[in-house]
Formats: sequence, structure tokens, C-alpha cells
Amino acid sequence: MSFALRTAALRAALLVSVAAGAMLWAHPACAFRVFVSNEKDNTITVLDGASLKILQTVAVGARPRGIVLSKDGRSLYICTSDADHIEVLDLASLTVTRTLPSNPDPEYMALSVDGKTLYVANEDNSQVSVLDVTKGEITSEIPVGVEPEGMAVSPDGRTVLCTSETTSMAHFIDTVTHQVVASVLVGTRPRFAVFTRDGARVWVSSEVAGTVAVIDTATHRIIKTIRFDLPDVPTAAIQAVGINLSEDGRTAFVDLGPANRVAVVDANDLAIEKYLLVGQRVWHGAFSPDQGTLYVANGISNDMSVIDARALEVTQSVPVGQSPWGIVVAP
Amino acid sequence: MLIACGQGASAQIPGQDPNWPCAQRLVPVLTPGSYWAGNVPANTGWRDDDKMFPLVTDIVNRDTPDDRALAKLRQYAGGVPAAQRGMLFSALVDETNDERTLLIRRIEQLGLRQRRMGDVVADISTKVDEMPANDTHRADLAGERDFDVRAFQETQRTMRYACEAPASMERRLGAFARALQGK
Repeated sequence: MSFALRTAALRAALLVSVAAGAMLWAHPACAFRVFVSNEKDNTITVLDGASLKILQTVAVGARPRGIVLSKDGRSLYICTSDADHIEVLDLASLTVTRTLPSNPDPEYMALSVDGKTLYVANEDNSQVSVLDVTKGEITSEIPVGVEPEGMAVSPDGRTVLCTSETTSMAHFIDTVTHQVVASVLVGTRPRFAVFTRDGARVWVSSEVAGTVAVIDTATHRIIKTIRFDLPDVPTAAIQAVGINLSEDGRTAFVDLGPANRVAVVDANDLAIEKYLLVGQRVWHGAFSPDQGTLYVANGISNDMSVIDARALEVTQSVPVGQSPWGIVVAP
Repeated sequence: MLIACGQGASAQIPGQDPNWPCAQRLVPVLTPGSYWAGNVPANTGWRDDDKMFPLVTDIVNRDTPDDRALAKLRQYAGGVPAAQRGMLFSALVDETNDERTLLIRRIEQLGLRQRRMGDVVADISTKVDEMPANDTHRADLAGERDFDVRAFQETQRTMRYACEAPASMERRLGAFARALQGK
């Protein structure tokens, strides 16, 4: 076989294996695991996606909160806030294989589109650290508002969004120049941000205001501020934090903290469809690979609620560790 | 270090009562609606009910172990209609709020004491810094400051646990709600 033919054959084989991998990951019956960070007992709970049985509880650094899956699905990045660094959990061996610098008190982070850069919110020193994952080095520090927290990268990779809790702003940062190009005033104590798949909008939740601002990314203007009103639930308990947008772009699930509800929002007309009663102090969530199930972490009741994302019903509660915070679904 | 300590002792959450010293946002009063699917009937007369009063106070009492409280709750709930279970939960929320409010006041007092202690430490530090190095009282004053800093840090550690207590009461209340709703 000629060199050209061999190369073509190799490329074809590679494409087939990549496609097969993608199909496996997308298939509903594909095995997957659910990873939950437990901030009080310093562990990650690993559950089997099908049975929801705990496979292993992995000890990690102090106060694990924000967790993000690497682009190849092989590693989990963990903000171990009180250890002042990021740990890399190898998902094959379930051992922490690397420690990355982060500057003090990392709480949440976002991964660049190419998977090579982590943008880390440093709550204590009002900056975003730009971390080269391969080198394990902080290459840049971007000053932002007071107490940065929520982080998100736009689908085109050109913008990173950072929320600052005390300044109550959503900062749009150019990923090339590292300059803040716009700051949008949102509700008090913004905690989390997520871009729509087309990048046209970004949703920003505010914990104290109990609202979600949906921002047009082209104009940097708020299209709508969604307010949540629950009868017989104190306003102070309605604390909007985690948001999960369905891949089809139709539905958003907003975690309302100690209101113990997940709000289901029509992502097009931005109207609230339903509230789901879940465990206590619901914080963050993640979809199953087929998008049929949403898992949410409940920080006070120490469990994970399982939501049928199509029937919009809570089907199960699964005990995990102490003060569950973040959830990631991975192969 | 002193500034950092002082910040830790005071409220940092915008839009919140500055006397609340904990990182968690304070929800001053709990309501049945946060825990219950559907309407919960109001129950204002439970303290005059000879059967419900001792049951509710015993279940909510933090000295009653969780498993015993839940067993009593299930025993009661098994023999009454759904509406009455809602009435019982309403009473449990009421009694939990009474206990929790007292706890919140104590935490706020602790926070206020810390803020005052922070001011005292800052004041002594300024005096120490302004004293000439050869002043014979300087070492005594610096020792006094160090003692106060240690006391401050000790209380700060206590505060971390104290701040967990309201959430523990909420957790217990949530377990009561799930037990009464058969979950």
C-alpha cells in the first residue's frame, strides 16, 4: 500500500473511531457516570448513570465546588476552594493526577473551546486567572469587579463572561486581548452564566435578587429579567443560581436555592412554565447524555434530585455526600 | 491580616442585613411552601391542642434524635388524613421558626461581638504602631493585641459552626416534610 493510501486509510479509520465515540456518547443507552462535588466532606461522589448507585467516593482537596469536564472527557477539573488550587481527577483511575495553580479561593471556572485554557474566578482578589492547562501555568490575570464568580465561554470562543458578586455585573472579556469590552449591570449577587448554543444570548442568574437576566451578546443589552414568584415561599429564599439550557434550545432549568424548586422556563418567550419541588438548597445541575434527565445537587438535604426533563417531573432522590455543590455527567 | 479578619466577621452579601455574619444568605423566616407540594393549611391553634402541642415540641426539639423524631412523625401521620398531615407540618414550621429565630439572634450577637473585637484590635494596633520602639509599654500592648487576635480567631472558628446550625434545622424540617408526604 502506498504512503498516500495508507494515510487515507488511517484517516478514514480515525474518522470512524471518532464518529463511533461520538455516537456512543450520544446514545441513550451509553454507559455514563455522574460526578458530584461535596464541599463539606471534601469528596467527589461517582455514580453509575443507569442505576444511580454510588460507584466510588473520591477524596479530594479542601472544599470542592466548581467542577468542569475536559474536552476529551477523560479528566475532571475541580476547584478545591480552601486548598487554593485546581485538582485534575483522572476519570479512568479516579485518582487526582495533577494540581494546577489558580490563585486564591477558586470557586468556578470555564474551559476554552479548544480545551487548552481554563478561566478561573478568584473571589478574593477581584480577578480572572487565565490558566494554560498543558503547562500548568497562569499566563494572565484579568482585573474585573469585586468577588468574581460565574464564568462562561461563548461557543465561538471569542468571549469569556465573568460575573462579579459585589459589583453585580456581567463582564464580557475578549479572549484574545483579555480586555473587558462591556460590563452589564444585572441583579444583586450574580452567580452563574451560560451562553445559548448559537451564542446569541447569555443567561446570568442573580442569587440575592432571585432573577435571571437574559442578555443579547451583540448589543450587551438585557432582553428580559426573569423573576420568580412562588406562593408561600419567602422572597429571600428564592435564590437563582445554576442554569441548564437544553441542547434543542427550547427549555431552561433554573435552580432556585433554598426555595427548593427548579424553575422550568421556555427559552424562547422566556416565560416560566412550571416549578419542580426538589431537595433543599438546589445549586447546580447537569443533563444526561441523551438530555432526557437532569440531575441537580441539593446542598442542605445532601442529595441529588433526578428530574425527567421531558415529562418535567421529579422522579427520584439519591443521597450523595455532605453539601453537594456541582454536578458533571461524563463517560 | 486584621482587615481580612474584620471582613470575615461582618456581612459581605450586598442587599443583606449587615448584622448577619455568615456567608450563607439569611432566610429569616421559613414557610411551609418551601417544602410542600401544594397548599398547606394554616394552623394557628396547634399550641392549644392537647395532642399536637407535646408532639410538635418534642419532634422539633433539637435534643430529640432525628430517627426518633421521624418515627414519631410517621406513627402519627399513618393514622390521619392528608389534610391533617399538612396541619401538623404547618405547626412544625411554626415551632422550628421560634427556635431558629432565637438561634439567629445569638449568631447575630456573636457577629456583633466580633465586629467590636475587630475594632478593638485595630485600635490597639494603631497605638502600638505609633509608639516609639524603646517605649517600655510597647511590648505589653503588643502582647495584649496578640491575645485579642487569638480570641478573635477562636470565635471565628466557632462562628463557622454556628452558621451551619440554621441550615441543620432546615435539613431536619425538610426530612419531616418528606416523611409526612410519604417520600
